[in-house]
Amino acid sequence: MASTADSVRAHDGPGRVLVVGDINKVFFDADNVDRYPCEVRTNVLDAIHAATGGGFDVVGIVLEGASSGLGAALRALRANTTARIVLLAQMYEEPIARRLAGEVSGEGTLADSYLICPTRLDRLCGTAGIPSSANRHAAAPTDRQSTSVEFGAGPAAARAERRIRQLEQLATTDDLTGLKNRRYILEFARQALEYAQQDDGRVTLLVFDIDNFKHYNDEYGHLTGDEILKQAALLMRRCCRTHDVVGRIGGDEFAVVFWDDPHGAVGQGPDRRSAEAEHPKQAISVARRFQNAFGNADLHLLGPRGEGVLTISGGLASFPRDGQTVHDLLKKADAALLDAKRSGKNRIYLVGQPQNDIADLS
Amino acid sequence: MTGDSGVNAAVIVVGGRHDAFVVEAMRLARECETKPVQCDDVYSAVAELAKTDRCVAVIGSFGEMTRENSAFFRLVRRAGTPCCCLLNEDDAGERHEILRAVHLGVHLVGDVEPIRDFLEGGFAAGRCASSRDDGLAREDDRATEAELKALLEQEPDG
Repeated sequence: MASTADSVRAHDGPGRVLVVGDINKVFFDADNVDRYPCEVRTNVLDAIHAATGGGFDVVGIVLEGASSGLGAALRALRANTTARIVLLAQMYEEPIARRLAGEVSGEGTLADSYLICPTRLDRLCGTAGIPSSANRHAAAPTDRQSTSVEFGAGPAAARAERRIRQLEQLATTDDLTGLKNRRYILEFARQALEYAQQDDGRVTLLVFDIDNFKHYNDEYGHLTGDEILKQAALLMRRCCRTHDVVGRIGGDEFAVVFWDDPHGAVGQGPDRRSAEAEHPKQAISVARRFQNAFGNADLHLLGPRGEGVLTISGGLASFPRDGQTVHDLLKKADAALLDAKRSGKNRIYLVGQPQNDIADLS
Repeated sequence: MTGDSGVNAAVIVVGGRHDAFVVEAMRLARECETKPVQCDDVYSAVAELAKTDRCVAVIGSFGEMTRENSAFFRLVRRAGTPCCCLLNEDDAGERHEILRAVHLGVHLVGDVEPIRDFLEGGFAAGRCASSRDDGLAREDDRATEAELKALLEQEPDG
């Protein structure tokens, strides 16, 4: 329960929220926007103009539909307002949101946090200590001055926010490896495909498993098997670009979603190239890199014979060439993986190019 | 952001610090006894515009200033801030953006030197505060728009 101190607003005046972009894309309750001390701007330049000089506690930015100038816009906001900057991201945009929230500019990170959408307006308001919808709904929608004194539960709202984030994490993460779980990967791929269909993008799905995993499990025990899975997860994450999403979708089966980052120009790092990536060439090169890294990994837990013994087999399927839905891509990538297994393992096949290990592709 | 001090009128120059156009525009602004303030992009220029209480004008390349659906032009018009854009050959295909800019009273130039006329002609003489938020009341703008529209609607050769 929130203490009395929690319900006292940390600063004077009403908390105010500025949302930039199409609110219908991010809030379940966009129709209730009048109930909140919230202003909406559809254009980011108008928003910077409004936010400069203060007056807002939170600036929420809708990532979907944002231009390639988002990075510069965030820098300008950061330099000219003290408001918390919260990114409103679709699930498929989470890697970008995470990167932007962690990307350090001259003034600190470009954003303070992000929310996965669709969400509710009170969650965004909660990031500034503005009360829950239940409190606000008790007041007349037009009575903003009187309801503003209720704005308070700052630390309580922050705790609730953290708790929700933890629960979200638990629901989408594989406990053993720390990778995303099957549910997340499939939903992420669905959203990435939806985006790709709208914007003529490309998505490539890699499915792979560890050759003879059952043998290692049986011979060395399950704890060793778990360590192999963790090692594979770690290496795959290292080999991928930051916005690609890696998940464990079965016992020793993993999947990676390679996709075009719609905000490729935002980052100043190596991901800038990704928007122009030619699928599935980049995915092939990542898969090769991982194959080499995994094959050369020195696994002490397998004893003196542990170096260079682990191999993987995989299948790659690309949108739009190989399928239009997640189901299509998963089915075809899986079939290519089976082909790779039947052909002697330790290889990754591209759908439509049977018997063609990616190691042979230029 | 960088700038000089000591004069009241300010000119926001939008573009990379080392861009030839920016260097030249900064020089012209100083020659016209205004304080040039360089902003790397249109986003920081908007913030600068919101902060400043000086008599101000904005100069930038057309490509940079038309980002985000030319929202910057609407902002400067609302603020009554004179704005001058340098058109490059690459901008020739942007007919709708050009028309919109003219409609919103943006002063378009094809070379750096005419920026001096822009600065000397109205801004530096102390007329920058005159609001342009009066529809298309200015006859010179209206004529320019009509001329440009006619020019752009000509069928290309071949």
